[in-house]
Amino acid sequence: MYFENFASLVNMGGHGVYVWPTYGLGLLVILYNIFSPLMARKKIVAQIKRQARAASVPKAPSSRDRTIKSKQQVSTAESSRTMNEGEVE
Amino acid sequence: MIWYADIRKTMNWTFFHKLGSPKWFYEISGKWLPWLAILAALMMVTGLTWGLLFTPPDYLQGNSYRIIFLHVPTAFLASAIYVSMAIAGAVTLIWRIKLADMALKSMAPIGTSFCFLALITGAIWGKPTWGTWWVWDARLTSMLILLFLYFGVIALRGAIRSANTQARACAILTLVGVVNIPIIKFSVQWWNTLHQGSTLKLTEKPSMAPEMLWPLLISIAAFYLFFTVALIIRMRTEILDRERRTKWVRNAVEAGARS
Repeated sequence: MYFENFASLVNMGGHGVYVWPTYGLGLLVILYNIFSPLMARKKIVAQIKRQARAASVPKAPSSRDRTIKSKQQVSTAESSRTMNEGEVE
Repeated sequence: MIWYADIRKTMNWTFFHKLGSPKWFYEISGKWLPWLAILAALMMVTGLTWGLLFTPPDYLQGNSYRIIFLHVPTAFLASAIYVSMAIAGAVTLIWRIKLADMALKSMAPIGTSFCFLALITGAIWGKPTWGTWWVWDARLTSMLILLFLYFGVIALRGAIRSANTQARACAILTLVGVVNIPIIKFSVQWWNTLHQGSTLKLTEKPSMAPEMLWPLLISIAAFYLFFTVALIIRMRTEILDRERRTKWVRNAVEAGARS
């Protein structure tokens, strides 16, 4: 290590007050980029499970389902890879 | 808007469309993700620890230069991600591949966070080096404009209801904004004010000492890898969200619940 002891590492010749907060912010940005999508994913997985459970019980479609146009209800992955307002050769 | 339809018709793009299948992407990225994440973490720890603890201080700037190991990679990526978004936007417009729009949407918050970090690390570095947090230097100003462009792309999507209109509007806005990228790149040459020129150039031998250059190169590679990992996580979430009505997503969610 370049620094002789812990105190000089923290102080960094007076520049520690600039360097350390920078790395702290860097860590925050990294954590944000990991946990923000993972939390969103958890929510969506829970939603899909709830919808699957609701679909297995026969009942009238919910208001949310009715608002979606029938042509958007594609069933297979193959037909859903392009946007639905035009077929692609 | 007819020209891009013509481009689409000139070739057989079957391969391209296989590549654009959300299901295919979800499966292949699931296999790659853990390895990429491990590699990104290892390189990030190596590069940043090396730069923070083991390199000697700069003879002019002292220890404050250690900010470079965060500042340069995030500034590089802030521009690179925007260019990638513009490419994804072009693919969205020409081939109408949904995966490209998912990529564009997923890249926006990552690019924003890196652009923000590049600006804030630059400001903190500026205080001991230039004696000021901020000046209206060409590089700083064009980077601030990049941050606003990122905000714009995110806000535009939030303001539109239809997914197809969202995709097209964001693609066009991203493509228009790409004009800012060469301005950022050449700002240090065109307006030679306060921000220093590039430390790393592809065409020239680096002027940096090797004991500082190596941790910097590792940090840059680590941030690129981390961006890839963060993008994959976001895109997989986006795929589950948009393809939730397909059988394979329901099966994948069920399988995930059991394991």
